[in-house]
Amino acid sequence: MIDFLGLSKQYGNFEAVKPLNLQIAPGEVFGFLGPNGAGKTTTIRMMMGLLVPSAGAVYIDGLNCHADDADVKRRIGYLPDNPIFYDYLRGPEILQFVGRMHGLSHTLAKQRTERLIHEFGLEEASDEFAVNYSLGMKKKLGLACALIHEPRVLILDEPINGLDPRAAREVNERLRLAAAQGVTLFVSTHLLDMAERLCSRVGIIHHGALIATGTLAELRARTASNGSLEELFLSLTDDHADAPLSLVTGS
Amino acid sequence: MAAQMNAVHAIRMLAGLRLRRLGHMAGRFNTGSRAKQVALGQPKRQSRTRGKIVGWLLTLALPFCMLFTVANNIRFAIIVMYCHDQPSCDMSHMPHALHILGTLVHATPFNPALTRGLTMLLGLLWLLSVLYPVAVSSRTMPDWDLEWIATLPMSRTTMALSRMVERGLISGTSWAFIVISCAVLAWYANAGWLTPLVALLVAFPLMLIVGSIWTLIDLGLHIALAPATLRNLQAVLALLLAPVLYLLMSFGMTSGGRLALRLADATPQWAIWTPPGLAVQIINTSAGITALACYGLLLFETAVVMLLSALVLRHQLRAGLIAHGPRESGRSTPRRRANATKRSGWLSPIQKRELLLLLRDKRYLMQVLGLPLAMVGSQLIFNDHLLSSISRDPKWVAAFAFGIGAYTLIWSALSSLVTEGDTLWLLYTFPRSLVSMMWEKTRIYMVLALTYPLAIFVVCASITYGSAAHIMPIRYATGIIMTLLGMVLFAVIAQALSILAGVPSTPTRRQVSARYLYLFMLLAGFYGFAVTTDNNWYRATLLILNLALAYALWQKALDRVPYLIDQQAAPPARVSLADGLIAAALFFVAQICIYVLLPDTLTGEPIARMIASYIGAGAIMYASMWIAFWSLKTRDIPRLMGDHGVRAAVFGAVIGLLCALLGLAYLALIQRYHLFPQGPATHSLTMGSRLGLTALAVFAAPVFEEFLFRGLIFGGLRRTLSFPVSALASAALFAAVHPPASMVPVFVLGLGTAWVYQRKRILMASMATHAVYNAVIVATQLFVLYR
Repeated sequence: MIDFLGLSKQYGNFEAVKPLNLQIAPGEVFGFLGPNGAGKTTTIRMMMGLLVPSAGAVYIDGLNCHADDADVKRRIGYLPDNPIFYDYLRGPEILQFVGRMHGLSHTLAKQRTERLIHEFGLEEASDEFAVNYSLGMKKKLGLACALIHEPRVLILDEPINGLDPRAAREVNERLRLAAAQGVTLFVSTHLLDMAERLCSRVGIIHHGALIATGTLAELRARTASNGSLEELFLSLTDDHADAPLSLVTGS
Repeated sequence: MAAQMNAVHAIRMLAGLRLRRLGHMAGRFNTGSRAKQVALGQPKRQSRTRGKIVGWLLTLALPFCMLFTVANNIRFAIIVMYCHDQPSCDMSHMPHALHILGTLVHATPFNPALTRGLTMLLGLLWLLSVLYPVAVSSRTMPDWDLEWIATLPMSRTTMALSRMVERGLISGTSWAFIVISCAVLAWYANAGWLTPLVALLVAFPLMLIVGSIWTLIDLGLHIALAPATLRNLQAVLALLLAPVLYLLMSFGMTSGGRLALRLADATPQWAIWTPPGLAVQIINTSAGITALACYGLLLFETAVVMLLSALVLRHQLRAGLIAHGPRESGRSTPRRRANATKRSGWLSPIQKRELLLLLRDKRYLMQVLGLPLAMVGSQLIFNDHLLSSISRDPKWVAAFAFGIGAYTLIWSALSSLVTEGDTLWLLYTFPRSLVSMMWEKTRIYMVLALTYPLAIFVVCASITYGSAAHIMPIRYATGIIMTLLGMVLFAVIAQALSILAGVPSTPTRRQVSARYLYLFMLLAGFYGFAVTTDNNWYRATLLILNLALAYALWQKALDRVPYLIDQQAAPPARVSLADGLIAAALFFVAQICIYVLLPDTLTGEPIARMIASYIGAGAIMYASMWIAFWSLKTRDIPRLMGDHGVRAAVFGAVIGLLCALLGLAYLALIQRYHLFPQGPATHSLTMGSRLGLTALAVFAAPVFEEFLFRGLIFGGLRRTLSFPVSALASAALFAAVHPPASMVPVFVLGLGTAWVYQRKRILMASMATHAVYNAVIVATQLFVLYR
């Protein structure tokens, strides 16, 4: 569903993302893990067309994200790590605007808006301007914006970061529901317990390079450890280790 | 147990910090490696050498110009006020009289009336220095650094005092208005070499007072008012600034600023004991003791104001620094349940959103619709010359209407990316191209910009319809058409410039970068001026040129859009219409400059001078463009020669002959029917100059003009338009710069050369066409027709 073919991004001499090769199958929940500054957000921005790749390409459902970006956007939903919404617009208005921009008719957009607002529990705040929402509500609204056109792929940048436990649980449940319905999820995060529970496969990126991919069991087998994802992650991304382990599978 | 910071230490530290920050901001263009910042996703601004130098020049030149304007205005004000009660002043020959009058002012000390007037002036400037930062601040929370400053170990009084001093001394508006005006006053009071010192000494307490009142208003209002009310107040203050500014500028106008003078007369006598009055007294007096006494009084008054402000602030901050929650836009009123959202068929979602934003955000509404009215309305009130000329001649109505519309565009279209701000990511998630969404926004900005001009025209039409109808309706109509077309064109130009200006680097910036603002104002100024011309040919030419400009900028913006957020990744530019227009402007300006600057002794007749300036300008243009292209690594530069060059040249020559035949036919026609009674003034030309002109036309003109019109302009257009449209457009531009009599055959030549260039792709071919045409036509005109 999502194919990275040598996708890379360079700023002058600095390689933000080294050539990335990765395939993600339809229906998979893929966790893109890495420390801060590893290149996760840069990769996601390249998928969304916000940044232009220096080399290589990323294909979603067979379409090039850079060249055919309008067609790609029909199939994907995006949630940034810090969703900022328009001033002076209420949550349901923004959601309806997003629905209309995705080509939904007026009535259909209205219907789906009401359904999603109800699902995410944003009704009490529906008279309030979106800028005044708490972070949890903003992320829920952002997730609703990403889901309104029923995409086949969801791209989420740090969806749980900064949320209180209840909001985190609600978002997690919604994502699990989407995954159960066959939506491919590409989740970037540095919260490892969430990744452990939600994702079927993970990839670890460090200093712009993908150093490990695979299911949790595979990673454990390769590093010959029985530790949690956190221990695996820390050992793999240890800058001071003598020989950094590299376990990139060919999948 | 750390001791509490004392005030002096705090002031030194905070002021030093602010200065350092300003220094970094000014030196931003020259920063070295920013790899770390880049890694965090904030791409480095691509600093091209040429752009950098121009950027620096603009950033330095514009404040300098503004300071110069302020100083000039103060000078006018002083002289006008001086002459107000002196009947011996002859004000009829401004600005020559200024110099003479200036010496008069130098000679005598300021009399009491003048002192009062100057007090009012200084008081107004002081008011401006206070109101301006309050009005333009876009925050509704206290200043960003106050939150962590409040965690430092100092008392609230110290914090308030240090903020007041820091704000007073490090504020651009205070320096511009107060220091400059004190300097001008001191100059006129014969301070001579001591002027800077006197100005600084006198301005220092005044600036401290500015800082105190500003901090008092700023912090105090933030605590006392809800954010929504504060934003409304900021909007109202922004509107008030315009009349105050115009009051100050009205001295420089020919009517002499009646309103301002009346205000000066009405200033009471006790006002000279207020700080601005004391400042004027100090500057005016020559006796040392009096000056010192007044200065002491001034310092005392300053200290009183500062202490009082600090105490009031301390009282207001007693409940904490932040009184309201983080609600930027106020509570919305609950929707009326019964009102279901209506579907509006002909407005797209984006356009509806823009309108909704306009209606709900009162400050945005004020900026877009209120500010133009205030700006231009103040012009009407304070400049009676304008009012009278408007009522006399309809073309000034058109210019006036265009001015208001252009102001509207500055805040709506030119700032469109800035108002989008951080929410730009949402536009990237839609299955539509960014360009089409920008284009939708442009259309609604066009409509918005047209409202004021249309309203003005309707009002004027109804007025003049009632009264005597000797105002020719035709002239009125052309003015209206020019204005309305201008609004459409400039909406496109503003949107293109906003895309080129890019996404603001700091998310809290609410204004588009200064140089694009000034560029837009410059272009709009030219057009507004052009609307008032009477010549129809000029009108047509200007419309064509502005259409070309709008398209060129839009083309550049289209190139930029894929790299809007990721400017670094943009490939080197390809030759575009904008390059052609710049080259054309360079060509014509250089011609004029060389013609004017060539010493008379070097060249004999004016013809030789013209030839020399033409060739010189052409060489300059060619060289500059080549250097620019080489340094910017531009692609698709037009080629001079290629394979089969000779064959191509012959082909071109044949086409040239065809065009020449058509041109000859046209010549015969105008001879026969006397279409252009004023033939070219060739009777007085010597044989030598005729030969020179012919040589110019055959050898020099094709080289330069083909590079410019076919290579750059046609080539640039062809990149994004089909052949027929680009050929017609480049031929129209080509014809527009030739004299009216020859426009038609030159247009045909333009089409012919475009076709040749399209077929053969090398400049040599179209140069051959042009050379043959010129040879035939010019020789015919010079040697056959007009012996």
